[in-house]
Amino acid sequence: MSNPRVCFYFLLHQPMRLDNVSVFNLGLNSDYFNLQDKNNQNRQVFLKVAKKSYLPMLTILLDLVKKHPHFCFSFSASGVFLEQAQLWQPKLITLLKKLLAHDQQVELVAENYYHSLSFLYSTSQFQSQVREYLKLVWKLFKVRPKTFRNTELIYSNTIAAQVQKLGFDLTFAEGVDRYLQGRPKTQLFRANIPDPQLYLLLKHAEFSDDIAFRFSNKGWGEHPLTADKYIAWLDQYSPQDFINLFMDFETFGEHQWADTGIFEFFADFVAKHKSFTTPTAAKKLALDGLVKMELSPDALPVYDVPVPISWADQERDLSAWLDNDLQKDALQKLFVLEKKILSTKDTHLIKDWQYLTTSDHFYYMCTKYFSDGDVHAYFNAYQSPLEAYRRFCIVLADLDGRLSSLS
Amino acid sequence: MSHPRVLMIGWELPPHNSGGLGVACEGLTQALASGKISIDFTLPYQSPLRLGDFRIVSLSPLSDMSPSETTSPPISPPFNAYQSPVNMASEFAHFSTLSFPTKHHLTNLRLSTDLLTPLSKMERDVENYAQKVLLYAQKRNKQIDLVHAHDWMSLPAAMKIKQKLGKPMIAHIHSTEFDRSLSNDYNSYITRVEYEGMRLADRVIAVSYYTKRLLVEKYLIDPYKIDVVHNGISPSTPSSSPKSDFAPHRPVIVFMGRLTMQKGPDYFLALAAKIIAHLPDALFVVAGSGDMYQQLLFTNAHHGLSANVLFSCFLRGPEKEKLFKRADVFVMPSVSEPFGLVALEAIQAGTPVVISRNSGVAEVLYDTPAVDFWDIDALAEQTLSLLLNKKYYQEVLSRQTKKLGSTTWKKSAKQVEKIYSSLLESFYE
Repeated sequence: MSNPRVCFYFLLHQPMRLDNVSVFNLGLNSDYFNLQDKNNQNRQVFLKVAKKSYLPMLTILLDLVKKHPHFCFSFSASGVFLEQAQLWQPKLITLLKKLLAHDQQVELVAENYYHSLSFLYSTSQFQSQVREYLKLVWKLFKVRPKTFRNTELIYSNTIAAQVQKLGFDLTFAEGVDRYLQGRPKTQLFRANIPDPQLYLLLKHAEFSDDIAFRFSNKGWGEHPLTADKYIAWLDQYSPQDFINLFMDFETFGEHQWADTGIFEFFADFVAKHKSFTTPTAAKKLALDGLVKMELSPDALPVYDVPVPISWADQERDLSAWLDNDLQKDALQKLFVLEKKILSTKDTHLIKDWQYLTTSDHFYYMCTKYFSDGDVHAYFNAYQSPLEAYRRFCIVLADLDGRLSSLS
Repeated sequence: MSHPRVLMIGWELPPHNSGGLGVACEGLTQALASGKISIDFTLPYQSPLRLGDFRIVSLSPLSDMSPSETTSPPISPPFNAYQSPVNMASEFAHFSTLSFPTKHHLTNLRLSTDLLTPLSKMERDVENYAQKVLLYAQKRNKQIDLVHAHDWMSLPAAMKIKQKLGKPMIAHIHSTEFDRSLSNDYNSYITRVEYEGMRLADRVIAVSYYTKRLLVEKYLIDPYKIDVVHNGISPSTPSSSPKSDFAPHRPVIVFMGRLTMQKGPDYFLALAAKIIAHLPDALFVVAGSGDMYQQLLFTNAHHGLSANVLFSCFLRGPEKEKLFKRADVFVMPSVSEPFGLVALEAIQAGTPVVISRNSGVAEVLYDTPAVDFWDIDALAEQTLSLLLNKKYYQEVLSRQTKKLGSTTWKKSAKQVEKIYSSLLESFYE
């Protein structure tokens, strides 16, 4: 067995996109996400992606797990995703349950329920969104995750401290050169926090992006990518290395359509590659290795990240969500409302506010128009960043009005 | 000459209008036609049949748009009358420099004395339209006593008819390139057309004394040739739109107009910031679209106004009226507004207005204090007085409403009729 260990993590997420609420409906109990309408955008997108990606890929994963006992992977599904799945495509929940029944092969990773940026503005809201997530997955799957993945892989020392406080012992981050300083990202890292009990697996961006972004690109010199070629690349690493392939679940069937051969590639890769691990197993392997060498965990390298990083865009920072004035003021005005909203104890109002914390709303307002602009345009639910902001403002004003009518 | 037969050359009519020009043309033409005047009104696009006292003649300048092929009317006019100014002012052989007495933004307008060739698509459309209108006029030569053209898009057609057929010509000025560009990057083709058109016209009608002064000072038009005819407003049709009660209990302040420098939307945002400091729950609605849209959104966010200033996009018809009905105050901070019909529409919907001094409508609402568009303190003071002082609110509203009674299209039509008859008398006798 000479292959390095591959650790897969897939993210399943769909936001609640804003409907075009008119100023004429301010204060008139608008349904911001138009969920009452059977043809609402959120349901349509969800059903479309379920058909193209969630249903076929989860079915393939289940087959592979049964067929190949050595195959493992991890995933998380945001709370907003799981809600929509229950509403519109409950088959997905059944498939996820079946997968999680193979608990040695499939690991559920925790996150914050709303896929939000709450950790930047409110520790208490962040904690509450994580707890809400844990409650949901316990109810649905009877699982208590020990690994945590933050929204869009956003990570910093400060965030690490919050994650450890919530009782997790493993999390993910992007392997960013400016913080790696030449060290290989294929090993287990420790967080740079006081009394560290939190370990880190770092995303291997190059290998992840071969699948997630480059796979169907005919202009790419390596196109078409085959399992054999890919495994040969991975084999440059030693069997002790962890190759962490983190990506959107929608890579399979949505970003890379079925006709690109992505499903066949994946099945072929799983059959031929001999070494997989879940995140928790990876951590155990690494720590056990230290014990064998009579070393303490202090011997692990430290990943010191003073300024937040993410897995987005070339900058791998927060600029996809928090760069221009539209994003900054929208976020700021939203979180200014937190205390007042929570103190109303109005569950409907609180829920609407929490849906608005979802990071996608601010991603849609991004105006970095250069090479990353293409990716943003592809993932934008509205015609333009300006429209995303315009709609968000109207809903903010409506929330404000609901607050004052309650007080 | 008993019943003048008029060829009216237009560019847009509701519902296919981009702004006030279409509204004004419709109001005036209806009022004229319900009298003794017979009117053919030309348009550069296909318009659905309408019931009215005047005849609409569709003369599309687009060769590939024959009437039979056009099944559905466009939602907006095919050519936006007032596009963002494009800089084409470079190659002046000779020009005269004029200065405008008001300082802010307004500097000098240069007029080329060379005839320019149309460059943009819009300019070529205007030229083609002129050809089509001329052909039509040649066919109906005997049934035309005079031509009456509205704004620069219609002037080339009127000039051709005057030159070829010797018809008396009236240039009716609702807005000039100077208002729209504020002499920054103005389009020299358009200013040239305006200048030549007014020079050749037998009479010029300006929609306000404000505009007349501009025509005299900027375009060097003989003041004795210019008559001022204020716009009117059509009586409101009751219950045409239900009263909207959105955002109850919040003061609602409205801006409506193209989001372009001329209309001063940036001053409206500055006003919002100032008022929110006093009235944190005040809600501002910016209704319109235009070249400043993106810039305004960023300014809005930059000043932390995201939850207080909302953008509703361009509204028309019932939605426009709905917004006016709900508004507590309408603010028109225009930098240069030839008339400003929209202010009268707001009053008609029962909303008091705060208006820029640089506007024609200020002459109609002469007992309403007008404000310098750049004076945010004064704008805020006026707006806050209206919002906070109920008695003052009622007083201003009733004063402004009273003015509507004497600002009718019928009255405007009477003045235009007089201009017609004195022109025809001098022309044909």
